[in-house]
Amino acid sequence: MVSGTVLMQLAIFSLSIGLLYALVGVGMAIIFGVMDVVNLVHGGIVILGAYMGLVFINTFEFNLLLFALPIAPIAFVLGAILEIPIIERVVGKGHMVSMVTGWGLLTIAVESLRGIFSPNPQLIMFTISGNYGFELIPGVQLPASRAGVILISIPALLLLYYFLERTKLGLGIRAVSQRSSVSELMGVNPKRLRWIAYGVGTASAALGGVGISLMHSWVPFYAHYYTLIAFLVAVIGGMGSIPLSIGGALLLGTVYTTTAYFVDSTFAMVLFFLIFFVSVGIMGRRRGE
Amino acid sequence: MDSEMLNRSGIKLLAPIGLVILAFIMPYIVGSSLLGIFALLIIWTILTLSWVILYWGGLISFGQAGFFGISAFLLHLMYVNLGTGWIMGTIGGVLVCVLIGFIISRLTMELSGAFFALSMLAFHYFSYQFSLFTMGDRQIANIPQFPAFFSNSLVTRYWFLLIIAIVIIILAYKIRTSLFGLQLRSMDKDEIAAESMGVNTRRNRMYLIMISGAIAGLAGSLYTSHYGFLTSFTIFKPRFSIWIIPFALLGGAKSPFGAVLGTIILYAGDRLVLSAIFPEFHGIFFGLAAVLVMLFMPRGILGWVKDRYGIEIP
Repeated sequence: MVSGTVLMQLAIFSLSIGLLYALVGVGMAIIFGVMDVVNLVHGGIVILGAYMGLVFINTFEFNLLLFALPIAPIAFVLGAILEIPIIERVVGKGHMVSMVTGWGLLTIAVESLRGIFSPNPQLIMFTISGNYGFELIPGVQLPASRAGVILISIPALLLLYYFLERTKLGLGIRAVSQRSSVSELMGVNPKRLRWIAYGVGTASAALGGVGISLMHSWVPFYAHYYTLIAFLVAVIGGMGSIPLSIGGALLLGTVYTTTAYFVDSTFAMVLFFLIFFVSVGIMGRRRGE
Repeated sequence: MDSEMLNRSGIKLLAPIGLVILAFIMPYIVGSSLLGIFALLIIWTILTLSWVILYWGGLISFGQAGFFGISAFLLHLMYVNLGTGWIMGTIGGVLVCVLIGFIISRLTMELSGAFFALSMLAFHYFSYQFSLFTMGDRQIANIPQFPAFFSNSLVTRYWFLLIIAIVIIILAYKIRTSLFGLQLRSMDKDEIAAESMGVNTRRNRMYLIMISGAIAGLAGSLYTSHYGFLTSFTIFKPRFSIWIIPFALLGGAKSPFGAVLGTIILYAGDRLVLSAIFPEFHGIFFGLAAVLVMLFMPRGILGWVKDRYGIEIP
């Protein structure tokens, strides 16, 4: 019989990993909605964010989460730099061209990170004012890394939701993702909104990467894995809905954590890819659409 | 038939024969280190062809390494448990890959481009994690050698690989020029139109994934026996799924010869030049090649030659 403290512990772990998946996946959903491009570079940006976290922590030796603040604007600029000369040229040319271009960019990102930082696993021992963790109630731990992930992802997700639902730019982005040609008639400039949306998606991916740098060790080739996670979260959310994506991500996090606890973490990965096949098979776009 | 046409058909026949003879006498021209690179180049060519065949039907796969590694593992497992040699082990591995291709085609039957491609990437990672789960990451050396005469030395192994590669190239050429290939072409252009013209797209798609899986599996068991050992990590390396895409697209993925040309240029260029100059960063060039080809030369070298000089290579 599983005790109550174990369940609470699992709930904390599921929540943190689920929020991380949500942060990674929401950006993918926004970009797909606005540009109809499956952004394969996403996982590369995530891992880049993790390395940025590493560099910032090693350089400035912050023991608070302040180092995460500059990463989002840097990633936004990086996204705009990627979008305007490269991604913009493949929008509307069909999935084949955009996918291969994205795949090439992902390879460039992974290989340059591998060259710069070596292929070895990286790990940050994250502390909050000297503590590796807090005991909430006897038997239930909140590690500092998980607390950091929750502290990064909840404000980021709320901010993203506010941006999309309450601001004028967000309204434009939603209009373009519903019907680009009609929104153009209504006075929206899709070209400008595309790079803004791409930048926002990239920034959320990089923040997700910061969460990864706190939570577990990583190597550059995890980029492919996180592209898959982001895609899966976006697919579960119906390629565009943010609340549904977050719900799906939390569900994925719960499944992963409980399987890893009760069976084995490698088996959890096997199960994860089975879920991928089934859910993409059910919810994927029909052919010819 | 006037002389010009005779010349052309003569060249058409003589050029491939000359290249094949050149490939066969290669061991007498170059040293053994270069020959080792050429042997690997041949395996890469076979793997690239498995990707290209899918591409003809309008499908992009990011996970050919899944078939590659599964067949390699089966070669080892059948050798240890059943005592089969290379031929039976490879047949078993290829048949299992065909079966997996059937299952994948059933699961992904309704998926369009990007969804299928990422499903294949998930398949690659699924099989990698599954092999880690069952086998761990230990190094395995119980691998059957190539059949009888061919396992003697690097030169004979090179010839064995070459013979198989030529068979696969001819097979791919036959697929491309057959009625099946024509149907694939129509599916690539417009799937709904092809369906309404009476092309059975679902069945063709299933055959396509099965054939591609079989060829990738063959490449996997060739690679493993050539190397002589395997681990989960070496056999499911992401590069087996990544590099073949720029290989195929650089040469011109619409033709089997374009795929071979792209593989020769990029792989030999990487092993002989780039990885010597940039040992840490040479992987970047494969991504760069994919991006540049897509932006500036989407039909590859052969497509460019056709536009520029009007020479069409099938």
